[in-house]
Amino acid sequence: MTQEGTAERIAESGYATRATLTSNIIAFPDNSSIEIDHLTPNTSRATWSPLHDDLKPSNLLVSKVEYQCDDNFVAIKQASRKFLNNAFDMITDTTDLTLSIAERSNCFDDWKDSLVLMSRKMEHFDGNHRKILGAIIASTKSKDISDFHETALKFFIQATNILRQPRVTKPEVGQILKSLLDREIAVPIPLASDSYDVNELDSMMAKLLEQDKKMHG
Amino acid sequence: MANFNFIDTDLFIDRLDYDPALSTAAEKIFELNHPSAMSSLSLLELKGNYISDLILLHRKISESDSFTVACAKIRRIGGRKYDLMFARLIKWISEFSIHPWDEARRELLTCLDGQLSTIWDYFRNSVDMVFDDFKCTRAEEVPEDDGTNWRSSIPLCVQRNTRCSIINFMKSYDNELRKLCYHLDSLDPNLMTQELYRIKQAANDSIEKEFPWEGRTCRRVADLIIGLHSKAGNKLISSNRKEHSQLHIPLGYQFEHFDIVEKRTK
Repeated sequence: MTQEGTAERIAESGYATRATLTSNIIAFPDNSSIEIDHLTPNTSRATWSPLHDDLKPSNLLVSKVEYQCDDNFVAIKQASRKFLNNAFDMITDTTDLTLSIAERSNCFDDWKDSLVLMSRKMEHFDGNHRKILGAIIASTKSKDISDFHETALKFFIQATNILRQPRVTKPEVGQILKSLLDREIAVPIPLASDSYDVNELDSMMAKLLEQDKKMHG
Repeated sequence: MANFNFIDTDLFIDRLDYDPALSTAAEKIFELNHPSAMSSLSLLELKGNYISDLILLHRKISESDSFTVACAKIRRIGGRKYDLMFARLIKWISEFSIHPWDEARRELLTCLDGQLSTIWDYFRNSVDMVFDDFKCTRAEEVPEDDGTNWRSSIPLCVQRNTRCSIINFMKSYDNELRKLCYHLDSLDPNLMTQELYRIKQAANDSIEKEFPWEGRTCRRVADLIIGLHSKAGNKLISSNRKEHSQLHIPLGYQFEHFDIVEKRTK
């Protein structure tokens, strides 16, 4: 396959969001290293490998096998795939030091918003996806980029990458949640209480029930 | 060993209280009492109440095909606890849209799945040590799911499913149990609670024959076991005054009362 053909295939798959059809090199996010394997004088294959030690290649979906295998892509609708890739790009950009602090902060906030949309829109997400996503949503609620060290951001990159998979295994869930807990990022939602704010809660629920009633007639 | 400060089950839940005054006060207890410890019975209690509550909410939401149905199912459980938990979850999410319901349900279940998958280890990691010298089998059983639903039921303890050494544990405190029985026998009946009656019975049985561990005995007399565990440390911090104020002297541990009423927002 020619370089153009390869680029086209990858662009169609939605994975290389910055791919161009005519470029000789497939562009990847700036925080990656690009290794070009020259297989033959006329072809080359670009692989993406992370710079940072904690993002071990074995943990990432972004492997040669995944790029070339269409089976995994069939499981996710194209729009969902694009959405997930955008979310991944946003969180990746938070560690891009060539961007201004404002840009990186905006990327983080946009990524957080995308997590909520993800929880609502991704119909193919199963319990394993939801465990990771739910844990990250709780951990980042009401927080901004300045609340997290770079290692935490890298962890969020890894977790978002795993969410791009059509299927997430139990060991992957276990690894992500363990990292979350070990880094003391995991935050429980405060749901206990007998009496605090009861009137306000009752009023809120009454309004929602009224909305639901109007919607269903 | 003697340096550990034991933290009772209720403080783990108070730390997750919606009332910020109470949750902050509870959080401070964890911060200021290192090295901290919990009894394995506390893990069991947490599985039986807070974690079970989350699982119940998860199931009711999962089974509902509209917001109104979800509210009705949750309210039918009884009391206000669960519909207030549901309301708090929605409030915490903020800007929560109940339509379309399929999306809203996914969002709610995502939050609950995230909680259920981390809360067990969160509790365990909240302290420096989990005391489990008699190796409670039930406390080793982590809440699990099948990809869709979570399982929370704590099986009755019987020979075939239990490997702990609770009988030997109780026998090793024979003196303390005798002192306890003597104390409870002479206590003003107005100060005896249902749990203290159960504790007295279990202590008597342990002295005369063996601790009646089968079934749910340990959970029904959890304060006794948590109190005995606390002997290994400096003190037990608990909001449960009614039981521990009667247990700590005969059993021989220090008790520090965490007054919830005083800590709550006025």
